[in-house]
Amino acid sequence: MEWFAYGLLALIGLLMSASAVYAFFWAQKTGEFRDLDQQARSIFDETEPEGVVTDRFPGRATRASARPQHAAAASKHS
Amino acid sequence: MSAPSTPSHPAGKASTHQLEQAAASDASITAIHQTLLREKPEPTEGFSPIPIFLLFVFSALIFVGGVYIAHYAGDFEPMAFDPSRGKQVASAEPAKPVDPMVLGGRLFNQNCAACHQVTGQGVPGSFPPLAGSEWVMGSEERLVRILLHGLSGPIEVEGKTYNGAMPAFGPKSGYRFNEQKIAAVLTYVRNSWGNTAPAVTPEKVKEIMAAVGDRPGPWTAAELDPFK
Amino acid sequence: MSSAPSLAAAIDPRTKMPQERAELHQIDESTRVLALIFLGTSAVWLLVGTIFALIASWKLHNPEFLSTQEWLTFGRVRTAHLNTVIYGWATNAGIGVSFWLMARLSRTLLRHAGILYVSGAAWNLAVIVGTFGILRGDGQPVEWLEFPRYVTPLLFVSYALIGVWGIITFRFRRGEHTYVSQWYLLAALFWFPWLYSIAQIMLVFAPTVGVIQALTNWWFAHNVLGLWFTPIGIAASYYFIPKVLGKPIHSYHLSVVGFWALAFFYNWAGVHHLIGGPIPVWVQSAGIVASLMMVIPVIVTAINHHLTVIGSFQQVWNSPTLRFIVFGAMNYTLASLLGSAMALRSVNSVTHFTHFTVGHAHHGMYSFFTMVMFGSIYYMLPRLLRKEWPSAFLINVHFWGTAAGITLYVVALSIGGWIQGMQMNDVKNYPDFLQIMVATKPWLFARTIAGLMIAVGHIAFVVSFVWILIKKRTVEETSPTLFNTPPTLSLKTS
Repeated sequence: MEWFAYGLLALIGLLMSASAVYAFFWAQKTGEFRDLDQQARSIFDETEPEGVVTDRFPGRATRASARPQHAAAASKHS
Repeated sequence: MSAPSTPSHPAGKASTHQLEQAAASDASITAIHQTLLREKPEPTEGFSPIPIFLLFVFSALIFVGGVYIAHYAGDFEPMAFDPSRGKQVASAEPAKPVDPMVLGGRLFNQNCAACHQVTGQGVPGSFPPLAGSEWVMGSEERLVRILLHGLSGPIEVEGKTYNGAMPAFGPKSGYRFNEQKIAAVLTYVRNSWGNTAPAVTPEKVKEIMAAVGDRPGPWTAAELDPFK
Repeated sequence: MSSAPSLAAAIDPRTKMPQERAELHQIDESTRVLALIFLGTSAVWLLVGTIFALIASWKLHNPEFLSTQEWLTFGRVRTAHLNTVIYGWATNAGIGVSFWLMARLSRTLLRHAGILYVSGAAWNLAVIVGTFGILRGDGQPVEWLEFPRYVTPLLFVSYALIGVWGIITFRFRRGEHTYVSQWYLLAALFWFPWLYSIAQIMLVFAPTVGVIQALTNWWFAHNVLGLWFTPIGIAASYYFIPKVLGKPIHSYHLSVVGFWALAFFYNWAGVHHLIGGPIPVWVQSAGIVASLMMVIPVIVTAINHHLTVIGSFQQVWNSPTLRFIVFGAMNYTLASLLGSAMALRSVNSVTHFTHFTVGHAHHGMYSFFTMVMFGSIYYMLPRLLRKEWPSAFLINVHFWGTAAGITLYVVALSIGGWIQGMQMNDVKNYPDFLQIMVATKPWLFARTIAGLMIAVGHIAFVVSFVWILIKKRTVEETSPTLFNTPPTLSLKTS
């Protein structure tokens, strides 16, 4: 019984390791490791573009340092 | 999803709003501006590959890790800390004689001090004191027997009666003290906190162990009377 | 300073809503109810956990406090604290943030929401019953798995459902890129059911014999932190730092290295809790080396996070999200490097079995993970509810209360724990054990003070949370993402 349990656990361990190896090769095959700067930019889009600060304290004018970005964002829709 | 060709994000840091608007009319200029303006204030920004010094740091780490494993793996032997395993090595250089007071002190603090306290005073009403105790300074016959198999039931120490149980520490108990450890810890309690009594030798402990043999349970105080 | 309200007036999001923004808005909408359920329950658990924490902390320097209440003895209250904050607060918040991020990054509407409703209900029910069971005295004597065995199947099923959901959502993703946050989230969703099921089998339902139990226990407990909370925390920081700043992360190359190094090394590190224990010495050494190797992903992540922020650091004054997350990311670096150092035998022999370890656990779980979750919630809720946070003051109270509180907490326990460890190791002049304990009292008291500061922060957070839920939407707050309708723009040319 004990050995059965250990065998089962070893099997699960092997499956987990195999899945990690599979994930790695899958990532390679599907080009996850290529064109990296494009990937880094993938979180930005038309509506939340690069160069625009997207968070601020409520009801408070942002400090001078952050101002140009807001102005830029606003100008886009004006 | 990003569409870098559209002139829709005139993101600039150093320019004024009006300038940006003017530039926004020309797609190509905006695109160039965007890149230039974004890059300038942050020289560190970009898609830098892994810096070469990091590779050195990581290689060094992996090297250190390898050396560490090689050094501290105990030959991948599960019983690396088993004293019997090191015997062949030990014979190469003569073992240092162990000071029973040092070994005994360590054993006492680890195993006995919880009840008898580091000061040997015990806890009034619960655990009898060892300092000045007639049991400790008296016959070693009695003392070794208590340590080997434990003691339970009422016992009178320094004129006060205690009723508790002391566990066995002998080789067949959970603590597995051998004769050397028993001798050391007894020598320690017999010569600490103002106690003065002759040291207990491992040979004497062995002799008593042979005399008692197997014993199912702890002693009672009355049973030990003959060994006074 | 001259203000230019005309700029704000010029924006009318109702007339100009590009298709992509509508899409993002739809994705946010589709996650709204579920996210609110998970985040709302997590906020409740945060308060409950804080109360337990304060009681337990007070008991450490005043043991007679509430000692006659069987249900509130230290052993139960501390355990209840741990389990409510880990499984109630951190896991609920982590799941809420995870699936919002997952849906956003996969650019797909939330599918199969039913799965998540069921699992959310089951999970919270299990935490309620489990906490009650612990207080009643039914707890399991296994660290981090104290919930009584009658709730574990419920937890497991609910958890497995979330894992399945994550994989389905990833399967239906659009866009050719998998952002690094998705890697971390997927891995976390995949790893936790594995950890939890193996630990349950080997510790509770068919307990292994002897030291293997201890090994499994620490493998599990450390990996919950390392392979479940850490990936979610890192995923959130990898998303929010660049997103808020509008600036891609410093180096995507490094993030790839970081992910795989974490996946490879963390699994081994838990053994460092058993250094000096009766387990084969090579297993301990392997654990120590793995803990050292964790320096690699930590440095890589640190470079990415900090070098992205550098140059825009002043933005932490403008963005609540960034402020919390940068605090969290800094402490991730610090706590992880300290953790690697603590795995070394020479350091471990001092810090093990002292308050230092307790301080370190909070450093990782609170200064890093919890703060990142707070930051994420500050970003998500306005977008989900299309309302602004009601009060900048409350956010400030929240940040300074928790940040100062947890820093005091970690510093006090680290110093106190180190002194405690040095005294306990001092075999030659071994003082009375009682003396060592008494010597820790001032540090424990400082920890209660820190706890009170944190509690003030939490109250401010929950008040904000409830307030934003019930307040009315104002006229101008119609934009799905709020950043482009600032109420006032101060133009100051420098």
